[in-house]
Amino acid sequence: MELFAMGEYGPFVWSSYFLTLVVVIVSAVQARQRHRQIANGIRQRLKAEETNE
Amino acid sequence: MWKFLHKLASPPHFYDLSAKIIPWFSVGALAFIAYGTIAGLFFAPADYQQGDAFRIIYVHVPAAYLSMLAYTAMAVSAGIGLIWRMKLAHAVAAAAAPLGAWFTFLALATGSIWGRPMWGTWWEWGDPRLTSELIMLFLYFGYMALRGAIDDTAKADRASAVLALVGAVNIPIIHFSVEWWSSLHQGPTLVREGGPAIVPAMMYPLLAMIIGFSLLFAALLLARVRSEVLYRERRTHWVRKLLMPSEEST
Repeated sequence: MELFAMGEYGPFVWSSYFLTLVVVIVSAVQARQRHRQIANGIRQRLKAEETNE
Repeated sequence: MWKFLHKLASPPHFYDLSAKIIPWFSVGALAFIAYGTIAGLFFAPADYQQGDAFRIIYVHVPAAYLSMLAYTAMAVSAGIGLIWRMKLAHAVAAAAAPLGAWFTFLALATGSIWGRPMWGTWWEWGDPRLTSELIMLFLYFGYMALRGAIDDTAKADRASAVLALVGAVNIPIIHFSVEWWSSLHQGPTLVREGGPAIVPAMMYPLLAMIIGFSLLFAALLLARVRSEVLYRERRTHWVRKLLMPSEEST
């Protein structure tokens, strides 16, 4: 318990690490989603072009 | 060397190569960050002045370092794109901006959380490093807003590259602000005359976190550049072949 209390600074230390984890996860998910979004958009356009032809 | 760089600048080659590199960077990042976090939180001794609050250094310093590295990467790529008209360089600059904004936000937020118990305040407008770091966040926002406001990719590349280059003047200001002006921030810890001002038990986890975050940044940057390349090359034959392989074979 003392380990997690970090002296009297537990809330400051843990909130910093939690925020870091959130930023890392969000930026990784964003990068993945953007790639998927762009690839799907291009696929749809190509399919629409095929249909029109 | 030039042959390798020339080949690397080719979008299809870059797209393939980066897909192979990203997992290696990600695994390396995970290993270094895991070691740095565990060693920094549980094994490094508490600071004699700051107690356990100093452990915020292990996330704050890598975030602050990456906020500047991302801007440097963005400005250099933008410059290369502007001078040599290399399309991939503009893609790198565009991909670096959101990552840089995230890490700048993280540096500001963790710095603020660290500042509360140490300085007695969440924010101090008179501190040159805090203010110049905040200006960098606004530069990232401005860069992204400018790109978003121009539909023509080539025009957006040129206009945003000029902004990135002008804003680069802020990088040395952030770095040297603690030496040029009176600041609440402590001076350099690792790179300073007379060697690091930190004992090895505290320093190794910090170095591991800096390496781990750099690898993470590289992996995320490559992933974002791949998306940029795919979008910019959406009308080319190789992208059609990549995304609709069955139709190509028929």
